[in-house]
Amino acid sequence: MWLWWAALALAEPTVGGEVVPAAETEPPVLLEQASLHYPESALAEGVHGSVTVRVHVGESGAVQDVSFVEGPEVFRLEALRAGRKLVFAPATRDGQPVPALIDVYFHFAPPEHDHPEPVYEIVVGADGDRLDTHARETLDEAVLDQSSGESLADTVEGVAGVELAGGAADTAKPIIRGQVERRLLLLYDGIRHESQKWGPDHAPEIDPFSAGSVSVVKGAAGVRYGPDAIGGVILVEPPAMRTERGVGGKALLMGAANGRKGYAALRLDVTPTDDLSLRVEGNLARSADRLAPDYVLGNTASRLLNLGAAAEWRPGSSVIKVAWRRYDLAAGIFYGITNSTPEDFGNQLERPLLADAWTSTYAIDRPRQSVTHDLFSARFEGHLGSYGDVAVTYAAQINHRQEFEQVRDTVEGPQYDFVLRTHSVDAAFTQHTHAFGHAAAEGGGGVQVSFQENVYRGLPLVPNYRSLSAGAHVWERLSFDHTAIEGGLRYDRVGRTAYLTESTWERHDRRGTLDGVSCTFVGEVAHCPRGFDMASASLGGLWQAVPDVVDVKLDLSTASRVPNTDEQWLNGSAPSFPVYALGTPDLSPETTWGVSPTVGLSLPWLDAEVGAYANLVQNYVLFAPERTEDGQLAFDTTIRGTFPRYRFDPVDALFYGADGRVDLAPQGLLGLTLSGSLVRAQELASGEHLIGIVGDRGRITGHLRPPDAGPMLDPWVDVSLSAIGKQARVDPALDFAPPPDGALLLGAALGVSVPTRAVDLDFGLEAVNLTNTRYREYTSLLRYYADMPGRDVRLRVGATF
Amino acid sequence: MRLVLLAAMLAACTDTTTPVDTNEGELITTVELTFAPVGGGEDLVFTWGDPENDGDPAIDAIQLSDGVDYTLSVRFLDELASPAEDITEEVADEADEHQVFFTGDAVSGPASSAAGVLVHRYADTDMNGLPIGLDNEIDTDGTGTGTLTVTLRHLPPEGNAIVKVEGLAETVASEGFGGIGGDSDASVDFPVEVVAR
Repeated sequence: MWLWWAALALAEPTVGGEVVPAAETEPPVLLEQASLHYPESALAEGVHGSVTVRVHVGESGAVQDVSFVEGPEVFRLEALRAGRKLVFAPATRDGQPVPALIDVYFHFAPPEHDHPEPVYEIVVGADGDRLDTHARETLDEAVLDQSSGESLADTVEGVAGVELAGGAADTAKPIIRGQVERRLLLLYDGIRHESQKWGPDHAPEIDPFSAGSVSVVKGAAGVRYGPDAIGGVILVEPPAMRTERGVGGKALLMGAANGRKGYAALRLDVTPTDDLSLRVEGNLARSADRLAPDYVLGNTASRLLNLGAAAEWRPGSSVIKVAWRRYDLAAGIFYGITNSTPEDFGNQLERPLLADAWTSTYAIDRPRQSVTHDLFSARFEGHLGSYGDVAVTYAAQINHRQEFEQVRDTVEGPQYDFVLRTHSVDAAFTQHTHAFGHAAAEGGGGVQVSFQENVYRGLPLVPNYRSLSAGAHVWERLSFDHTAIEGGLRYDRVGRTAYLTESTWERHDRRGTLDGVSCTFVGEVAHCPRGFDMASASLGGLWQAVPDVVDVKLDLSTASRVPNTDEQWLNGSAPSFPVYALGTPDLSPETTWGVSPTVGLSLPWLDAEVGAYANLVQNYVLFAPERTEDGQLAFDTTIRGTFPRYRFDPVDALFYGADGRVDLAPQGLLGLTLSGSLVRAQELASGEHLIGIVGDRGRITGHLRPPDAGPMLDPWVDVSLSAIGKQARVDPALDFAPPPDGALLLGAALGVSVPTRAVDLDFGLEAVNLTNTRYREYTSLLRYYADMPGRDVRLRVGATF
Repeated sequence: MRLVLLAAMLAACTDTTTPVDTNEGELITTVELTFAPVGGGEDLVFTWGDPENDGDPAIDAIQLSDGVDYTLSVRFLDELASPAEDITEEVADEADEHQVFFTGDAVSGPASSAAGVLVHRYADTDMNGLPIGLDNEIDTDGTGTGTLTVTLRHLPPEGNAIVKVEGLAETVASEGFGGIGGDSDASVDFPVEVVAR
């Protein structure tokens, strides 16, 4: 991979290169610049702007086609015109010219008195990950296609340092550097995803098919993205709207052997006029009960429907976009997960009792979950004269989760029913780049306001609440020839009032959990308000130690998170965990102080990025068994039996570790990728290792990239071996069962593209856990109850038109 | 922005600030045991009740007389409902998916191999001829104390797999509840004392 550097210095145009779909070819080389004219329509405001266009370079080196990727609308036509005038030496493979796609980046600056000509810069293959001072990895659409039909968490699992917390059915949650989803922030199209993300079987309701790219930011990133981002951020960006007149789109079909899963997806982009783009998309997946190597995982069937529509209007230099998305999941909860007493629980650890009786069907029985998530958004983007760009986004989200236990036939409806409604307004300002000699400065800021209410009905678990939060942030970045520094500050205030029924309030009162919280009764409802103030800050640096070869990043960040409603108020037996859990209403925000260095190396035969980190988390909310004063486990006697009592207790914890990836011969016929991650997490006072932290991971993948054959382009074959280490550091007394043994999993995949006159076809075949190895995943909900799913073979066909 | 925020506030629904206790009728708060002397005499009623369902139960101590045989009927109540709801009828209607088990060191019987002061026999059967445990026979066998655990097990079919099958009580005696399927709707401990007549 070629390095692109952040400095937007007003120097000679520079050219690097990265071929977009065919990484193994030598990229086209820019021979002749085009003259770039600063558009008259932008003269009045005198704005700066950066535009990326995608250029199709033919075998002769001539430009065949240019499409707009991103940038201010006012520069779009000029960028497209200039892109067509560029002259390249063609891309080559084995010395033979081949057609290729290449991203070209223009920077527009207004003409000045001493520079009568506009100043511009062309850079090819800009790589946003290299600009972030955090460890960051972006998965583009080609990678996303390979995991089509899988959940968002499965999709990002390939990133070093990202693990899965598997659910019961086809649901999974991401873990970044040991931090679970409640400490992560998920953004879809820049909008914070708001859902019941605290539950162990509550997967993020985001559709990977609707993404053009997915980026994983590792480490505290609260300044730019807001509270909760204390462990990392997953940014899901939809593909850019089509701006050329006409119709385009994408279709995908996938079938998987394990669970006899079928998946179909379609996206249609229609651009009737130059300033209006429309999109509709949807996909449907259906899976029967999945299979562990030795038995059927009873009641893990699922059905998922995603729908979306968007319209973008570009009057003048502004952009107005409205969009709607819906996620609709129905999924069984594995029969083996029953809320039994610890004695019962211990008896079924080795193998589910009824494992031999289950058969795989598409039926979804109780216990099951049913989840819908609707997102409506409206965004305005425009210019503020020569100062910069502004974007204002309003979003409304309704998350509705219902869980149905196995109950007597006379009982209808769900036993747990949550509705979470969120309204938010984000206003962001991005300042235009200003150049000072060899330095350039850019920056921005924003304010966010959000209102949220949670309505819960069902067996005693969590109360209703309403919250109002507001935050503001600023950031500034200074770029020099070979270094860049970025800093930011953020402040957030969250006010949240819980509404408790009299009986719930009495239950808390009797247990003495209301210390430090003042509740007032309005009629028969206790109003229990809490306010949280949080500051975040970050300081990061980039240093190109050896230009185009070695770069070094250092990030120093602090970020905070408000306790979730379950951590404050849970009072009951968790549906999928054999414990009685009690919240701590007066918890303080969790605060992370982190340092994370990252080193990147880029040579023709080696490409690598390795990061390390240490995060001190103050008031880390630890979910652990409560002990009495004499050190004995505390138990609760309920009508369903006697359960150990779990509490949410704040402790100071230290997370540290390293992760990374090394690509050997990234362009060669034969290549090798090594990746791995280590996470350590300890309670500071006792030195004890925390429970529930992922074990060590490693993966080695061999790549074969044979030459094109006839109509088949870019064929590839991968074979991978994944090592899952045993988590052996935790005190066994803290857990219900010893941690599962490690495992070695073999996987293989192959793919090829076949462009035709009308559509570009893409074929893929993937096999996971080829040897059908029995294993359990330490971070999976299934871990206490059953083996992980066994061998799966997936076939997919995609068409882009 | 103020306008938008106002709109958001107007969209807020009052169901947030008026929480209600709901439990979809699945909850059991009270287990009631009625011992009727076979030779006649006053019924003895003992309850295990957690009417607030907050893990703070009131438990009666069972006191029976040595040398007396009893019939034992079991009732399950939801006392959070107003008026209190009798769940026993629903259990009887779905008898092929439910069974009550009597275990603990105070009892010997199909589900317990302890040498207890009580001897238990099932006195009812479901449509498949399998025991239910709502009606039972209890004989006393000497004086002494111990613990009687009464467990209502919900055993619905899992897909095509029938979970309530023959011999469950015997499996519980040898392997505990981990040896059978389903899960416990109620599982409560009563202290027992059998005194000389």
